[in-house]
Amino acid sequence: MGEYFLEMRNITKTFPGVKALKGVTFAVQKGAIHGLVGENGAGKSTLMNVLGGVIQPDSGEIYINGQRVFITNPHEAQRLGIAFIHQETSLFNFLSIARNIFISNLPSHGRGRIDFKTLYERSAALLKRVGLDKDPQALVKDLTVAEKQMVEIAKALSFESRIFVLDEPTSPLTDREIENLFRIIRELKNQGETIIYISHRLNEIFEICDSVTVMRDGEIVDTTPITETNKFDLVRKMVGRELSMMFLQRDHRELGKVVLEVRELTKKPYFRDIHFSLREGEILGLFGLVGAGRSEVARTIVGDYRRDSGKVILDGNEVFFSHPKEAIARGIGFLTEDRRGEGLAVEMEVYKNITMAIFWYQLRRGVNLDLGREKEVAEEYVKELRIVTPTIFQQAKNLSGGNQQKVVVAKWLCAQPRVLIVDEPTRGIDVGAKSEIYHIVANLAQEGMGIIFISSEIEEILGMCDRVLVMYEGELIAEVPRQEMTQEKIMYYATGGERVHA
Amino acid sequence: MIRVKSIIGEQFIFFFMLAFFIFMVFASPQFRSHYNLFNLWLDVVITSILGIGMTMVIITAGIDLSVASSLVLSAMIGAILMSQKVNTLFSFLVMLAVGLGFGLFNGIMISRLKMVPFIVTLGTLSLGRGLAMLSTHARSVYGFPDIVVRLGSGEIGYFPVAGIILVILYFFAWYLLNRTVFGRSIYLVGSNPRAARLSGIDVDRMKTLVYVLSGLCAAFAALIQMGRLNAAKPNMLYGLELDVISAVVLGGASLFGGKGNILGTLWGALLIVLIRNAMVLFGVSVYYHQVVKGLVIFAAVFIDILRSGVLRRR
Ligand SMILES: Nc1ncnc2c1ncn2[C@@H]1O[C@H](COP(=O)(O)OP(=O)(O)OP(=O)(O)O)[C@@H](O)[C@H]1O
Ligand SMILES: [Mg+2]
Repeated sequence: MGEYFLEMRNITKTFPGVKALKGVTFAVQKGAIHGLVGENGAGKSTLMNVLGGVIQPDSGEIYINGQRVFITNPHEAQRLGIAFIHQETSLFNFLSIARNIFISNLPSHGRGRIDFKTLYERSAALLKRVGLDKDPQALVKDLTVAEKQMVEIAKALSFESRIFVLDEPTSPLTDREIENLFRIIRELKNQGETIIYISHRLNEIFEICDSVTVMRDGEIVDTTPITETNKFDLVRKMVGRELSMMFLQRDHRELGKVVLEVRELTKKPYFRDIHFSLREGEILGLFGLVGAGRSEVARTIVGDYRRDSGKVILDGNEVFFSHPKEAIARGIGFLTEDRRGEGLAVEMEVYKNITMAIFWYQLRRGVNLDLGREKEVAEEYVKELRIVTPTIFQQAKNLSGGNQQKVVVAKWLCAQPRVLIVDEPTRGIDVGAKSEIYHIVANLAQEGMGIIFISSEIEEILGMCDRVLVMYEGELIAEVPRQEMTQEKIMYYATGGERVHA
Repeated sequence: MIRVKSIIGEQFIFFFMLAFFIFMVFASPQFRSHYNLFNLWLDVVITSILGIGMTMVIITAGIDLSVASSLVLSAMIGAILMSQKVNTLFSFLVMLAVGLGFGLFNGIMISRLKMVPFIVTLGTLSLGRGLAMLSTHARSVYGFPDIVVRLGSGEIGYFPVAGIILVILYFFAWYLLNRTVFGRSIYLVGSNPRAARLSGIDVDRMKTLVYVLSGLCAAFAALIQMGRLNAAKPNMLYGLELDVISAVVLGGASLFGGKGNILGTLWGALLIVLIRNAMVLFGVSVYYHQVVKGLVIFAAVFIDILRSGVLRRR
């Protein structure tokens, strides 16, 4: 050991208004799983984009196996054996799995005729290796996020890759899927491949990494073997200060009257007979595995989906929302889990994204838009959530992943609804910002907002919720009050409860 | 890339158009004549009024191929009424109703029935032109009230009346797009319709509205076109929709939606009309007109692709 397999020296990169990398020197040993952590906007993705040839640095050198390389484009990176699994997947929805895997090197009979037999055989073998039980001919659009990620990995394996970069691979995954991913990563390591692993979940870093590098504000703060550090140490290096308590203590809160009630709500094939009520000031958790139907319940309540049957009752009156705008007008907001697909207009400015859900309701003066007030509101929330952006006029797509998520959160916070349904609100957000968002949400509840908190992170549910509903395959299978909440209990129900385990 | 991007931004088209204009002023004495400049203005007016509706449609990631056809149909119906000495205002209201009807039809097919804008408006393109031909069995209609003629070809001082109307309409359009909740909504709808819907924007209604506005613009342009020629011909302005689309895209709108600005469209329309005029003045054969037009459309689409970053290599 001692020799570095990959070395990036003095890499700098400046975007208009942002010094994203300020002379970063980063080295990784062969056959190691190397963690890369840091706050939102620290420059992790940018550094890896340089390695993947997605962007060109202003200066700096890259060495692989001691040899200087020039990675001018993603294709060159691929040729050098660098596989990049992005923060956002980049598959073609309307192509088959197999075609996606071999998108840039389809096996052929020559003269451009695709060799389908080889294509499907090799794809099937790769899918088996990553543990994805799907027909290679199936279209990618029908896959879940986790499955898409497996396809991305299979694609990486189809090249003779020697360095695998995984940028926040687990944020959309459930525990079981994460286990599978880790199994694959360890397998790669055993075969002597090198892995760079970016995550905001420090537990994961400690679980699989051999060493870890901390970035802050475009610089490397520290690199250590994993055995010589601990969580608190890492967090301190990441944020540059001691972090206060993660979750707010919230035992002494009075709950108000029932604000939202759902009775026998059914939307086939997603869920059946959902029944619950939400009080003012209450944080009601909604837990379940991916596919349990949680997001669909939320969508149906706000009128994005049309219900088959059942009732939604707001303040004692039955309501029929046929469009989310009606829910918003009545004070119900829904923060989606899919920020790129449904949360942001990435081509538009940050401030327009923040006010997307309020301009029609709170910033309208006759037909006019109150532009002055709009910018004030945006500035206020950029500050409050510490969104890292040079100005509110930056296009949302130029923000780091976590900061994009904060923009979506800001959108709903400024709407100040009476009932807020949040679906995986902290996805991709760093530890510091997470605790800030928890505090903000808890304060909103304190002020009387009713909150439905959908999450796959069990610590979040345990830390935040007064009560948790657990869904399993489209049905509400248990309701657990705060006093009885334990990780084991919730997981037990989420995986089927008595129905499966009895 | 950053540099290229800002150069081909909004300013580029304006300066390009201006440079071309100045070049023409020096290169061609005929160009400078009052007669030519006046006609140029009127040409610009027609193309750029249609450009207003088209800009909005394109911002929502749609397209309206039917503008020239609904213009012609609305002009024919107006012309028939006016030549029968029907009240002018009433005739104009009927024309507006025709434009509105076309727009509403397009809008509803596209937003409610989820049909592809290209196909729907291709249908109405054909329909409108066909009905216009049928309305008079392809004959032209002449002779309109004074007021209509003055609207189309009159002057107040040195300014063409139609030019003044254009400025007013552009001011309204600019205001609508940049200062109102409607304007903001259509940009959001074009950028990400799913996000817009979940944020409480009635995407279907916004889409319908832009096609309706496009139809109304066509009716307005129809009135000016009638006054200008003091005639309405069912075969006039063939293929104008392509000029309008080129103008909008040259002006900075993206066919992928979410982007576009109304002043850019005006400069784009001016440029297109200038190019057309230059070819006439320099005696370029009509067949080349088609070729040049084709090249301009390619240029416009190429700029669009550059701008959208599909070819980005940083
Ligand atoms: N294309 C771009 N244009 C302008 N600024 C950019 C661009 N890409 C990244 N940035 C800026 O560079 C900085 C670093 O971003 P980067 O995406 O590397 O952060 P990150 O560490 O991956 O954060 P996260 O944990 O939120 O994903 C951020 O301030 C971001 O706004
Ligand atoms: Mg990132």
